[in-house]
Amino acid sequence: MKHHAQFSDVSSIMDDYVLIQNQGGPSELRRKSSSTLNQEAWNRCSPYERYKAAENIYHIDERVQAFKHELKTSWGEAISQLQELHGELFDDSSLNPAIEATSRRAFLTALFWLVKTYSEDRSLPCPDIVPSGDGGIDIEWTFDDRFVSAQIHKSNPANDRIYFRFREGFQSTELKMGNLLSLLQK
Amino acid sequence: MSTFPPLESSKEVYRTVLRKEWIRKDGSFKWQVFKPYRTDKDGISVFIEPKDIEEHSETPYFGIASVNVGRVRECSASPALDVIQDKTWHANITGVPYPYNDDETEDETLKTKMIELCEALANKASQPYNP
Repeated sequence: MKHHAQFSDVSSIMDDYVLIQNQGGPSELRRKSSSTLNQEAWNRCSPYERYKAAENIYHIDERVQAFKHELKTSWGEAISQLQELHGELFDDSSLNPAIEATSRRAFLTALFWLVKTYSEDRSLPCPDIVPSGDGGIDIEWTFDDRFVSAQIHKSNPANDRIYFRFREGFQSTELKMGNLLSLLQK
Repeated sequence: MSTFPPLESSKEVYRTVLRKEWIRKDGSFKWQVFKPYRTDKDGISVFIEPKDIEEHSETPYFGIASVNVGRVRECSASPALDVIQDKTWHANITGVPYPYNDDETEDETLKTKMIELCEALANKASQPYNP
């Protein structure tokens, strides 16, 4: 279970790595120039091989470790808020019965968007991580002239969407990195 | 059809805040406070008096948002919002779109309007006191 937890934690930043399976030795991940993970090779690995490969990242590329440290420093409050919600995946007994616990799907997807957005533009302000009350997570930024809410649904990816307001009147658009950055970087 | 007379515009009604993350550090409320629960099919559930909360509300809750009935009615002309009493201790804020479908799909147009109205309500709410 510990290996799986670590795997899901690092998987979102392994887009730039390819898995190399060494004869008679452990698998390792190396950075590649294209942005697609060698999914076929990755799928053939056992959970333990994946865990060991993820461990090797920190030896192969110190920038990944430094990136994670920087993320926790600059967006530490968002990381803390997300970690608090993580506990609900295993125990929701402390919640009011009128609302739903954050779902595993929402937690992992929100973590992914947090990491990816920060990696795209490290000058962005730290967002608020807000549980939606119906199992999802809203990642929100408030500026003087606009409000942006990237909403992650508890189970249905088709409902992941950005809702935003410029001065007056809300609109919505598809949750894609280009759309999100264009709203945050104005 | 409600058997209670219309609430006076000067009346305050009360919404429990079920997540601490919905209250900002300055004590103001995020829009999620007024987002309909799945059980809010008749409208956004509110209490008539603060004493009704202790007697009828489930725990835990992390705060109470007080909102004036007249200000609720001012929020929107289309759709029109109102506060309709259905029990001696309970009322519903009507007019805010209910965002849930049985098949977990969402109507983005309705949801956009819902968020807009919930934010308007949250901006008009204040904390009468902390529990």
